[in-house]
Amino acid sequence: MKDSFNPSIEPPKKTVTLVSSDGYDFEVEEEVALESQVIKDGFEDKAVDDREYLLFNVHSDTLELIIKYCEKHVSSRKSISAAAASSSSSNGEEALKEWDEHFISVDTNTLYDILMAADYLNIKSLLDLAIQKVADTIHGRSPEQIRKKFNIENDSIIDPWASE
Amino acid sequence: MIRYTVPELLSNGEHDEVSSLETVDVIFNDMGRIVNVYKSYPAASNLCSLDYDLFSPALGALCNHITTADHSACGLCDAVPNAIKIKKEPKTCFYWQSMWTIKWRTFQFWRIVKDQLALPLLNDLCTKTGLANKVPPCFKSLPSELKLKIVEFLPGFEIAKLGCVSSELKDLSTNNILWKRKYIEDFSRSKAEGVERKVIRKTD
Repeated sequence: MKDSFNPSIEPPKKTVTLVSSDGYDFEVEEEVALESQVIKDGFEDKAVDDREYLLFNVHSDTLELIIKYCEKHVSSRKSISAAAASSSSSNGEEALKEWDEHFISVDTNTLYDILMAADYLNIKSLLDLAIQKVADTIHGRSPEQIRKKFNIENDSIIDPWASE
Repeated sequence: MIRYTVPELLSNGEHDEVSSLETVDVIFNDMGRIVNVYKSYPAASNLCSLDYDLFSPALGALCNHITTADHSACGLCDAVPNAIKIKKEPKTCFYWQSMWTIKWRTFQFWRIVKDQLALPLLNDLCTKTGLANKVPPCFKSLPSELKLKIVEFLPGFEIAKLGCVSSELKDLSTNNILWKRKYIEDFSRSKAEGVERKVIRKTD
């Protein structure tokens, strides 16, 4: 914690406003928003009182989930490093993994929404999590089952090389 | 400039009176080597830039061999449908190397047009006409970049299988860089484990 002039008063937490595609405002703490590489990249250049981000591609339902994920990761990272500093054993990382697993167990539409949003906001850990989930769906299925699962029609053409 | 009207989209809605004709302009700006594509809705913004030198030889080759239709100097407007046509009914065999280059370039071109032009426009139109909630996200609508990332997460065997699913996934999974990486991943691991791995090729 940095020194401040009046240590008895907690410094007000800096917040950032995220606006979803359907026009809802989400006020989040700065460090939570900075989980997104996209926000982080342009963050220093923006004026302090103008920290509002319009996320045209992210619906409020998805944004809520994303914020939940980022908050969880920020807080558990803190608790893990605190546990490491006091050299007390903790299973924080395992608990977080479990939490992730539970978090990403959503229906297909939500999963794709999260995937797209994580890509748009460039949140690496969430993107990897969502991609792994989709990859797991493909794993162990036959092509026909994949077509059915993902609603893809078979438009495979006769390979022009095969006739050579 | 090309203009399409989509009456199904414009007349959708509960309003009784006929809504005024609304348009979304897609502007192809020929800058010589680069063709910039702009859209006018919701804000005038750049959609994508297409490198003429990079794509025109491959697309030109496709057009010349498949159709006699003589395309405009820009080649873009005709090239798109023709490029799609070739994928459906290939009639000519080129040499392996040149065919591969043409295929790869066409796929690159197709990816740019789909991800940076067609999908954003579709999204904008859906938002404009209030259809946003009626187009659920699905695997097909993901941008190719993301699909490629998903493919990268799979082991080699699964990728080969995925290639059998559709022509798009086949194009995605036929990628030398990807396979080289998968090869190194798989075989360096088996070496470390000291296990001889058999690669079984399954034909669908």
